[in-house]
Amino acid sequence: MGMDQSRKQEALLLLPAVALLLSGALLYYVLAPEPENRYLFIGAILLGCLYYVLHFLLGWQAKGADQLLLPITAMLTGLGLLLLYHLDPNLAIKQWFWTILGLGGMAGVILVVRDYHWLAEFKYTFMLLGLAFLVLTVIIGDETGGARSWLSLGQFRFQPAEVVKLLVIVFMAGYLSDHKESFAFRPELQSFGPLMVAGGLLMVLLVVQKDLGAALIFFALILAMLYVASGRAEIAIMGLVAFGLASTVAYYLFPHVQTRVAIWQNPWPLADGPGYQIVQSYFSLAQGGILGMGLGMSNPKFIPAAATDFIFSVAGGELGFLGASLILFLYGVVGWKGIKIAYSAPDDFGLLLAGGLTLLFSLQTLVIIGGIIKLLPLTGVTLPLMSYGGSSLVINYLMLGLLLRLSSLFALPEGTAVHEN
Amino acid sequence: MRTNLLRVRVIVILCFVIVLVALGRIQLLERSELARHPANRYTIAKENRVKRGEIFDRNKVPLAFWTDSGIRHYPLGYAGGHPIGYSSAKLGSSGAEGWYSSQLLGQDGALGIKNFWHRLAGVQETGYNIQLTIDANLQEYGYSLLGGNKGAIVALKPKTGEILALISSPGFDPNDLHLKWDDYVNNSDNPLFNRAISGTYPPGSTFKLVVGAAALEADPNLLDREFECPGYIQLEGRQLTCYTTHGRINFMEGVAYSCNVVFVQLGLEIGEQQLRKQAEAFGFEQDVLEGVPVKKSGLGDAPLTVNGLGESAIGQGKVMATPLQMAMVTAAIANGGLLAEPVLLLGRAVPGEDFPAGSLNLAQTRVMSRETAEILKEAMVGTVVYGTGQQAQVAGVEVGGKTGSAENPHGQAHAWFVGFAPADSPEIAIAVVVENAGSGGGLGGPVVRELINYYLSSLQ
Repeated sequence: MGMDQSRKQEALLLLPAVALLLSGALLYYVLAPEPENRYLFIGAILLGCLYYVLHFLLGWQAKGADQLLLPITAMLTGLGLLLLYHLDPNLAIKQWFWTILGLGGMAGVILVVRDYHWLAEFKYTFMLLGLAFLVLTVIIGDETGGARSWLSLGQFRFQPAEVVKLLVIVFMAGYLSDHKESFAFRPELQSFGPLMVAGGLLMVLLVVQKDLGAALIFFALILAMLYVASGRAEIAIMGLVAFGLASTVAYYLFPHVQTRVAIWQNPWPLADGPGYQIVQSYFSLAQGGILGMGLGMSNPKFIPAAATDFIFSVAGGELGFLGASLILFLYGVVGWKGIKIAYSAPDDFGLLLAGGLTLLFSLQTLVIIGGIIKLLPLTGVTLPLMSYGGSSLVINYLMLGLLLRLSSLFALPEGTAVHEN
Repeated sequence: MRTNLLRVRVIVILCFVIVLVALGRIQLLERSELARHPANRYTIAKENRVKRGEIFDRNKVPLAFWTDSGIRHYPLGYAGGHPIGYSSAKLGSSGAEGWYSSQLLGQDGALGIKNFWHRLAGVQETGYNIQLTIDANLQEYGYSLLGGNKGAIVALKPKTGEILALISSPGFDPNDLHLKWDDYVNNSDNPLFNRAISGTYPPGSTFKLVVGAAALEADPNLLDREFECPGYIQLEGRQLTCYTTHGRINFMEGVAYSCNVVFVQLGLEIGEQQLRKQAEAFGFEQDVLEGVPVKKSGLGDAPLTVNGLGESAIGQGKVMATPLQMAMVTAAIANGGLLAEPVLLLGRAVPGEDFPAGSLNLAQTRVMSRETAEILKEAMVGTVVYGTGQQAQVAGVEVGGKTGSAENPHGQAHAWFVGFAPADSPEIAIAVVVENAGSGGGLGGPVVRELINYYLSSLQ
């Protein structure tokens, strides 16, 4: 097809990610040179090989797909694994399995999704499925860490909110591309109605689960997608006003919201109580300074939830400002490239779908890091790809796989049949 | 739709930049403040990970050591609180415990490498033992001589610059510090303030030594001159007075009787530039003690008015000096014009090993000619023999000295006395300041006398 299919850039950029995994394995082996720790190398090499398998798969089955996303995914995942290994080797081993599952999912999405338009047909199904998941969680979910956001299926536990993210994006993209004219010119109740109902239900269900972080992310995502579809700044402003009102109501209704806000305003008087996490996270970041304490050199017991919500504080402590800036840069590049992919979409649904996936990824990054450094009130959400958490990791791999597939589809010349197989 | 998308992208990237800036603020700007925070477990853990080295005086008398029950003990108590200091995860650090913490925690040299591996292996690290130039007995005795008055004493070895005593009163006891901390903080006499190196006082007439050095360097025939003291000197619309009418008087008598007229006249003659140059050679406006935050002594902002220069010439006006600085001036004169850079840290040793002998680095600078120094020495000996410093006389020892009383807005004048002995080969140079104690001969003189007597007999 006359396109460069060698994907040299991707192959080259995957090298540092694999080198990072290997040198990390070497470091931990040197620190504890027991024979059974040789599995570290096997794990690192196997993972490195799988990233290259994905690389070849993209070259074979997804011509023209973006060449930066996979290396960045590998880099961030690898970094997360190395940080987790020091915090708790068992978590890292689990996360390693989740990564392989995620890569499998990513490959599946790339192979199966040959066309994306059919997704729009099922938008209401997806939305209902999403709401059903959340309702189910509210009714029979388990409570962990103050939020009732887990569903158990026998041994298998997962966080439905993660799946719902993907479902909501598809719904929003489909709905908004159908109704964009009515939004742009004369907003009517009938065009707003389903959106308001779905969005409202979503918020209520998340707040009832006390999953404030997810609520915040969904809200910002819906607003951003509305703005992209309509170009009407007043919608965004109205949304912000509504958010302000809802937050105020939530503040007076829920004591745990009040605590969060108090910590946000000044954590120091609460340093021995509810402000403990954020203060310890501050200390970790400060201890890192410019160059950091070194990989594996922080004290994993100092920050509660270091493996999940606070993985970035650990990264900032061990890798310093330089390492933390590099991580931020990588997340920023995903945001930049993702929107570039969306921009190249041939139709509105594709644009909104790719844009929504990218925005969700960026928003989630900003909400958790912003919370850690006290720009925002802290809400417990995972840092995409780096935090420990199977549901989150696998869903992020699926979403990035979809984004990769979309980038390949958008790169095809206009009119090229996508149903060629 | 595409335009909107690009706008959203700008906002997203902007958010990333904001996050980066906020992160930089924590990791780069607020870093040291956060490290000092009492709740910072990293700092506490670092302290606990290392067994701090112990601190010894110049004769290997322990100043800070670990008891069998694992408590860090400071045998000098209040007397040694300031130079030895403390290090506490909760209260921060001060004194040698803080200034030399990288040595005491073994962070460089051979122990630094060893400790790196120990840290990886989770074995307790050890720090260097350090030896200070302090003489524990002199430190203790000097502290008792101040008798709880607010003030400071600094004693130097003129030939080497070694600090024999660094006394600030009232002091504090580094033992059980956390129990007494609130009392110290609330005490209006400010016992946690190290007056010897952080307190700056108008040096009063002791500053005449600096003016005298500059004048002698400028005019080799100064000794032949006759001055006339009518009891005051007229400046621009302002009179500076002498406490008596000295009449016809020469330079040597001018020092001995501390005649303001002579020195204001000399100060105006040599001018601001020469005076500053001489003062800076002695250490004014300089960092004088490596690794220790000594407050800089100074002459105030240039240029000085005529009145300002006249006041400076007698150590009033904008001139401010630490007791350490005035001890340095005295030591340089005593050492024949060579200023030995002050030293507090004599050496370090891996625990279990002896301190290396003769590791002292001598750094001497000539700050005036030998002749100038000899003249000033003679004038200071005269001060003690027949002038204002007679209270510093020690039987059988030739003592040189200079009194000073520093007028200040906080009540009675601060009493200064600087001195050295024995005059032919000085072993010790001392600066004493007692706050609000009136004239210098009265309170400072006897302190210098007792310290010289004590130290010289300890050498025999």
